[in-house]
Amino acid sequence: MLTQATPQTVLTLKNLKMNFGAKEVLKGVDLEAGRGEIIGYIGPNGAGKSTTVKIMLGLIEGYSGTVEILGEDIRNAGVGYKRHIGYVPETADLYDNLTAREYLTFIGELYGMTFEDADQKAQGLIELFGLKDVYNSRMTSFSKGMRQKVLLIASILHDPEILFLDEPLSGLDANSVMIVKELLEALARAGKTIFYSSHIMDVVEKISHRIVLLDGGHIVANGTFEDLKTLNHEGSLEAIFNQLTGFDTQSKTANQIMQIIQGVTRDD
Amino acid sequence: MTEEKKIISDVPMVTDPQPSAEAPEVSESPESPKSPESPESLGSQGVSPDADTPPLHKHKKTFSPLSLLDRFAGLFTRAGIDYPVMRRILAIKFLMDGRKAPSVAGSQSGAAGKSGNQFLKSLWVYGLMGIILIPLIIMGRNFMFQVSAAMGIVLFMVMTSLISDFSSVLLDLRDRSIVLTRPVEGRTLTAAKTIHVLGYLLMITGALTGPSVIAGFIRHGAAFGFLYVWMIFWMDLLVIVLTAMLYLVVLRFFDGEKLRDIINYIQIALSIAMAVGYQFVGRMFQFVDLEVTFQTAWWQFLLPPVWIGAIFEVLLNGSRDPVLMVMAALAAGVPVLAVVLYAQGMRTFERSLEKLEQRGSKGSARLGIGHRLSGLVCRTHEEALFFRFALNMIKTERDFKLRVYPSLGFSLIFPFIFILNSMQGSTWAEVTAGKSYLFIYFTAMMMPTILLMMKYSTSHKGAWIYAATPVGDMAAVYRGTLKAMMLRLLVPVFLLLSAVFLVIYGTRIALDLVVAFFGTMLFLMVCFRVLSKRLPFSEPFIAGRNAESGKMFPLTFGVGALGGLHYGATLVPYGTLGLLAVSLLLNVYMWGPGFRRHLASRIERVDLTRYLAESQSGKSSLGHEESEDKSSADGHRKPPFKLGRSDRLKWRG
Repeated sequence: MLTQATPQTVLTLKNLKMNFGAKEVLKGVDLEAGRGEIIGYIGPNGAGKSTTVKIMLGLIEGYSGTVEILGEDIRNAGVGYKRHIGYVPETADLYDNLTAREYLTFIGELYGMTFEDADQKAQGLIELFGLKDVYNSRMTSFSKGMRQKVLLIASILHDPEILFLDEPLSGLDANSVMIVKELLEALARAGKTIFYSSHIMDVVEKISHRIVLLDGGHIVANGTFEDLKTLNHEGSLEAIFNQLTGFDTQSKTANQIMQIIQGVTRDD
Repeated sequence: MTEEKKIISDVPMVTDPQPSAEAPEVSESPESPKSPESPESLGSQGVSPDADTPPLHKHKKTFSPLSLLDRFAGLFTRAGIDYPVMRRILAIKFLMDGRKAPSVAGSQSGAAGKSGNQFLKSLWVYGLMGIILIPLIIMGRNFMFQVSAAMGIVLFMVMTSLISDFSSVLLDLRDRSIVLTRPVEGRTLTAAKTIHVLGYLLMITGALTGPSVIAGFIRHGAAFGFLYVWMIFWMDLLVIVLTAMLYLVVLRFFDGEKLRDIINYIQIALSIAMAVGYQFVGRMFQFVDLEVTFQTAWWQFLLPPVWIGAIFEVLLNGSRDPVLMVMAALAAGVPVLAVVLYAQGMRTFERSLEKLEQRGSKGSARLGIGHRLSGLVCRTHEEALFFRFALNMIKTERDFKLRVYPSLGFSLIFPFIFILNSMQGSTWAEVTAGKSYLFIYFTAMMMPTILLMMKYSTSHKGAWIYAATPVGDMAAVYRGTLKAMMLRLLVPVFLLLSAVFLVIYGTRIALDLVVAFFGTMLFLMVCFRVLSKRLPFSEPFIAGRNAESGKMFPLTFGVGALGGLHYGATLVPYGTLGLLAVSLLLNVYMWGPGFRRHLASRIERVDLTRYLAESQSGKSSLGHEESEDKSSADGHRKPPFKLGRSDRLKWRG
């Protein structure tokens, strides 16, 4: 396939498999990622994306195959490697009865920063994200966008080498989206590796250096957007996604939906 | 070690580091403070350190429990735990607890009528309950019996309290994605959770056993006192380990939903057991004088309280009975062994929590009996719709069950307790010929609770449907919901009691049961009229007591009046039939035209949007200090904060 040999590999998955009971979620995933790469990690719901990320974060054990992060097999590595990882979860979990300051300094300290260092950085970042006035407010009152900004800050506070971002733009307004997009570019230029998971194909198409498409526990495509275009003869990532995941019934489905809502009822 | 100490600072573990004056809570429009940002100014280098950081060290002294823990730092480190990180997690946890809606005693407050809405207040309740242990401890030197019994009570209280109020701590899933994705070992997190829970358990047991410890010191001397305290401490640890193991076993065989159900039912059983237990405390003193002789049996080896009784017997009374010696050894050894095993298995525990996240089974496509009944018991389409809606909502709502099912339990149990009480001094034949079947009116006692609770839901945010859909008929909404509540909660209990009563008293009471049922329906209408009307399932569950619980007490007199009326009617020829006729007529009016008229007078076509905004926003989102004392126009106290499964703790350092 289109696997590119990258000069400085920071992350390697070899024949990664995972079962939940009888259900095989990952059926042998091989993947490499190098410094400074933005990888668009996409796939339909249930393809195994978040399982892969959870395995790399050490949240799920019992997989087979190997996961190497920064040259260490995480199975034997202890938790130290997580110091170099930043993570934005899709579920937007945070301890929201803390203030943004309390939360961010706590996370910073978990990463091994000093309180003062974490506080200073967090304050600077929060200001740049336009939340200066609420740094000392409890996050229960935060809107979805504000929480997302806090999550983003928590993921970059400790200057990680690898970022796992799951729908990092969700809830952000257009201006903040632009900031984050620019930021991702800047991070990549600084040699950080970014795993970008999203269902919004337009964004993935624009920002990713390389696109990895996971379907049914397999990687079905892995290459630059240009590569995918020439191979699949489709114009947009969305169309390629549809083609590769074997979904071509959208117009038929839409028509059927119209039929149902307009009263051409099925007989019960 | 010293370097790590430096990294994990002690700083923000004060209960509230910033005075609210200089840290304004976010106002109604949370997105407003947005300064124009330029992409160029972004980046971790260009940070301008702000000078006006509030001094954080000034309150440090207010937080002492953790410094107590520091003495054992070496112990934790030896168990492979990253102590500074664990300490930091604990500090954050206690900080958050200080801000949550507390209801440690809250789950029982509805039943027992105690208004403990702070953790420390609830400790008083435990302290009061602890007084009943005093006679047990001081009555003699039969430790085998006395200590076993006292420990049995303590163990039951602590275990149930752990399961009902602190399960959320052990099973918190946010911790996984927030803490475990950072460089923190699973065992460090589990240790932090365990210590977190242990802190509360020690306070609860401290309050519960405090009186009897003092009594023990005075009556039996220092050796007894210290041994007692020592054993209580290890019991607490054993309880945590056993509970964690229980969860592990359940999670091994079932999914997370099942575990949550099991916890829910244990909570309900606890509330019932507590209330019923109170009834028997009085009787306990009747056989306190009895000299109980201890006879060993194999099953006693399964009961930790008996082991503890044995260790007292062996150490303080010098017993050399080999059976007791073995039990004493168990008492000394098992808790330690359990803790060691737990420390080994802590990784497994965190891992198995993964299963909590997995979704349960597909569910069945059957619409259920409620769907068919809705057409029968409801007159309009809209009413039937809300009837089915309410049935579906309460079927899966655990918080609702937690608050309502205990009163169903009382309705089932109290009639029998009262019949038993009235039986004293009379024969069985006299009872079956008597009129104690009228205690079936106890079922009506659940009505106020149901009505009070039907406005709450954990998914209260879904209530926007009332505003967004063309719901025209408020009477249909309420009537449908009320009928669903009757069918789902009252009818099963009533039928069961009726069946038992028919066996006891014979078919002569059939008519009385019918009268009682319609009387109960009437009572429901009375309660509905008295209590304030809020949209069903539209508000978050509140901690502590509802302002309207004040109306509950007079309403229970209504039940008594109803029963009294019925009793009077049975004395008059054809009185019961007459009562039935009156009650039927009143029912027809109050459920029919009267219902609509009453609603029309009380709710002048609510502006739903405004209502929902009021009932949803101010309470749950903003800091609770401000909204706590606000009351809305109808005197209904706004629930100041929402009560989720995990919001059950209060910590005052």
